[in-house]
Amino acid sequence: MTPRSNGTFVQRCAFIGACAGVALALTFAPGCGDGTPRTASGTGGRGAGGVPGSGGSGGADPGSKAMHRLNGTEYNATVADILGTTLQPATGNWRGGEVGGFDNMAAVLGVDELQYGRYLDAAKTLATEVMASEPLRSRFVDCALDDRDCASASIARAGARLFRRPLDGDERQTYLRVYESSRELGDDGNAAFTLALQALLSSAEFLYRIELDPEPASSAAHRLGAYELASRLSYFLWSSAPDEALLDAAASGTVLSDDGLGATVDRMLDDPRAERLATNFAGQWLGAREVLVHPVAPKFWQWSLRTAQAASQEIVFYFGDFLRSDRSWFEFPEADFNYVDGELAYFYGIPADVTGFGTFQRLENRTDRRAGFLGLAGFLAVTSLDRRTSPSRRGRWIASTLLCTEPPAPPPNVPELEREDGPDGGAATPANIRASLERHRRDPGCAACHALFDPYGLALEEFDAIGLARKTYEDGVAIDAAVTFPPSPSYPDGLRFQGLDGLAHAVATNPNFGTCLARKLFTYGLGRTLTTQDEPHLARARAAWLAPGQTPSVRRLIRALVTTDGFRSRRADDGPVMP
Amino acid sequence: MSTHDAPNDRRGRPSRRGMLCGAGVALGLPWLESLTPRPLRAEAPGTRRRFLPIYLPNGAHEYWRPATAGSGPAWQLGSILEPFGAALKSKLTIVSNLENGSVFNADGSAHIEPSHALLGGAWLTCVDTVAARARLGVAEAAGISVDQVLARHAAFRGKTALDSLQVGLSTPLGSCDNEPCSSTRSISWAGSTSPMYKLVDPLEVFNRIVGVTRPAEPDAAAALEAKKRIARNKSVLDAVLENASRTRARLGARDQARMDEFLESVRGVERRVVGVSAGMGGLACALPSGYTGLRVEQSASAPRQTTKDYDKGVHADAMNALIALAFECDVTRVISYMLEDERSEFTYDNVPERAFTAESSSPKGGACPEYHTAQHAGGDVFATLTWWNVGKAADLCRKLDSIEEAPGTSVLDNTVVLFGACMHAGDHAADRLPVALVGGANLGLGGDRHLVLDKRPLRDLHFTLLNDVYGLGVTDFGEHKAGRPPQSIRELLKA
Repeated sequence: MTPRSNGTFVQRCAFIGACAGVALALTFAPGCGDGTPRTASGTGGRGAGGVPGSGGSGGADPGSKAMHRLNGTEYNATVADILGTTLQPATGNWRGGEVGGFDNMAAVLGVDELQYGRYLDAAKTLATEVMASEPLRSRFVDCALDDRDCASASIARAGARLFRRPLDGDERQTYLRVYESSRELGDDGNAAFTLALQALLSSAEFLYRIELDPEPASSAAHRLGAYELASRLSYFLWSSAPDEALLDAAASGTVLSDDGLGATVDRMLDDPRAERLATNFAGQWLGAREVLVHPVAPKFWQWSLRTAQAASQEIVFYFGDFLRSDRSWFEFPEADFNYVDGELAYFYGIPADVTGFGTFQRLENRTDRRAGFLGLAGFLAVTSLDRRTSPSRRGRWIASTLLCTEPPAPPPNVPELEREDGPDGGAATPANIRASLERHRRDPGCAACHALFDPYGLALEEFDAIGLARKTYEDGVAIDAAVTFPPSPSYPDGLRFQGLDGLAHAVATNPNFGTCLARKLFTYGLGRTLTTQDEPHLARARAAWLAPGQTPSVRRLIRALVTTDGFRSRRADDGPVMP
Repeated sequence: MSTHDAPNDRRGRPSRRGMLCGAGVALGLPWLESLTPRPLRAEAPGTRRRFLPIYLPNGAHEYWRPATAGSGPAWQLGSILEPFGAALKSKLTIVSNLENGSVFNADGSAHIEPSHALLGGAWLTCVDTVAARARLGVAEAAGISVDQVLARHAAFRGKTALDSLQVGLSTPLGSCDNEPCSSTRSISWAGSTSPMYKLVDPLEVFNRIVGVTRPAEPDAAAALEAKKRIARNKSVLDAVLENASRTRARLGARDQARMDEFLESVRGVERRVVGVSAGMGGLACALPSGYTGLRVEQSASAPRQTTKDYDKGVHADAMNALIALAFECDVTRVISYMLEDERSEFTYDNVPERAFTAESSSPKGGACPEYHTAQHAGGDVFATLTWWNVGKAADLCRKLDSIEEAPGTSVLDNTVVLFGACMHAGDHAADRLPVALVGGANLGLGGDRHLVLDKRPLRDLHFTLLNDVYGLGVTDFGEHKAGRPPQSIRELLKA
């Protein structure tokens, strides 16, 4: 079952021996008995306390990464940027690769004959479209294609963009031969170049980001080549290929220096293409995509597909605000603004002069009880069940998604809050979930784990399963949003707070909150799951990010992350362990 | 994939590609009026042996299990299995008490977490994906699935244009249960590290079926153009292969393995390009010339689909028709079919809730919640969704049974349909699996029976199919944590 979006296991109790944490360092102590979340590598978090290796990551293992197939989103963005096409050949039917909450993980982006067939079809469609349009064609062609030298130069020009590096002599020959065979079949120069373009678009060197090791047999760490680094940056920040300027920075080597890299990152984050980072990174991490497919029971008549779309978009915009501005990340839980279109303003009951659907306005509204990320309708809905809130689910989501502390897997054979009541009973929905949950937690085995995340969710009970404010449960009992966490090393006296505001402050000051963003960004930026070897790089980035006298903005963290050896270097893999 | 362009200029004229195979297509497909199917292969109809696993997501409601064990009048279809009806009951065996927990737990415990992903991924493989990943040092692993053991065996491979086909009905790309999505979105594995994702778009399935057939060229000029088309495709693929091979030589070992996967995919397409030109894929019947029916796109970010723009019943009917077409025309003999992804959260707005007893059900009104919530809630909503999916599987079986192959026998008689779920019910238990075998009368399977076993591993069922039904003579299949070797389930076979 899924911690992220399963609704029921959290009502199960007791505990099975080993906790679920795997490579990603943060786990709860086995048994949850002492109520202590812990990390495998120190406490991490805001400030310098407990950060190991603050001397830097020099010499630390940068890790290896499989050759990285473009996912559907990256494919579409790449062909749009390079070819200028408006076609979006990749659909949801294309083979993806999702693990750990992100769909750009190299290790699971395999290919098969079916997917390759889709690539071939798309290559043909794209090449034909580009060559039928003079403005698009002129990106690569400025001479007469019946002439072989013109074709060769055009192939080199298109190839350098598509392969994200210059073609070598052998490669130019290979693709020129496609042109020549086509001519031999009687095709004209234009048709023959179209076929060569099709071949470039069908090549592994286009479909994958390939990074080379000078000595594939050695596992020594080495810096990436300038073009390889450029591609890492562009797929991290733009979900797409480098543009001409970035390729130039690679050609001149500028991108390799600390200053050049920093300036490049600034330019890239100022570019409109950086919106894709908000859409694709925050869209996945913070649940914006999930809002769109999240089931909501019909009794919530206020919720429609349009509400879902607007609430999803608001999450992306809300994160995007922090990405663009120089604002501190630690305001994310508490900042009092919303992005609303007419639909969402009406839903929230916010007086606004925005009308209609899909045109968004940033509003500061201090008159309501809603503020911060944790007050966004999309977040509140996606962490609920379709017909009621689940404080355990919300709490667990906050613990695992925002704080990177993974509670343990549920135990076997435990009672559920909603169970089968026989053939005609159907599903009983508790009218007062807090009371049900408290009964459930009387079992001491249940209590130990639930105490670690339920309070986060219980503090949000003043918002229903679609995020509308409420004062009472369906049984008429007033909602009590005051919560208590048991003592822990981070909070020796325990922690008490009330409602959304109290929760937002607790999250913002939690030692894991800043670290968690760094982990998620690094995971997404590298396209691989993190291991303990990545800790020194994270520690270094964290130290630079949180250095006194600077605003700890998202942009500053991104600059710190890409400057580490974890991002700029690689090593050959340890070899496959194949059957 | 289309490695050649289907000729659509001849629509309306009877031709080799003009029509499908008698099965009465209820869809609005522009399939033309019937031509007489003509066998193009020497192999006599009735000797084709097929395998069709149909995957039911999220377990089954308890009423799946018939009240009594036995044969003939001794057992009855309960309310959930009712859609099979009396005619198919005679070709149906319900197998109770199979378990797949022994793949994961040496003590045979039925508790597995995360259950959807691990049990879903083990349904046709009987391999512990977590252990396999650790052993192989890769991010995604299981074992070869039982359908692929068949598809890759000499008894099957090369007999048809496609070794196998993977299809399904999932539309939202939902949660993968915190595991690689191959565990919840695919059931077929070509090998330990190669999941085979399914096609959900009926057009893609259609193109896959017709894409392996050679169009009859009306005249010499068209034939020459077709030759050129193939030559152009080949020159593209040759360049891709040449460059990738050069790059491969500069890669480390793990990336070389990944590049090999790419190269194999390209060569697979190339074989088809060449194969089509060589007239590969002799078909037992002619195929329709075009498809303009339902199109389906999976999406992680599109709005939740509703009855307004999508009807899963229509999708299922389209897929059922295409599966029947692929079998009837002998394009392939192995198809795996997922009625939905495991841990599906699809909301079946188009299915009204019904009221269930163990014996029967009746309309109740009201909408079902999404599937996964319904599974946990149990009761009528879960029973309704199990029943609805059983109905679609039964429709397909009926369709296969209506296609006569050799006199007196149907496609279904030459097909083993393995229909079931990876887990018991809302308890997510790996024992008491809902399992049905349909058809296969000519392959030695009995029918009209509710067989209650002493607890047996699911792997024993797969082993029985491979050895006793298809006669492959394998010595092993899948895994058992306690090391118990697989054993045939003799009770499944006709006396």
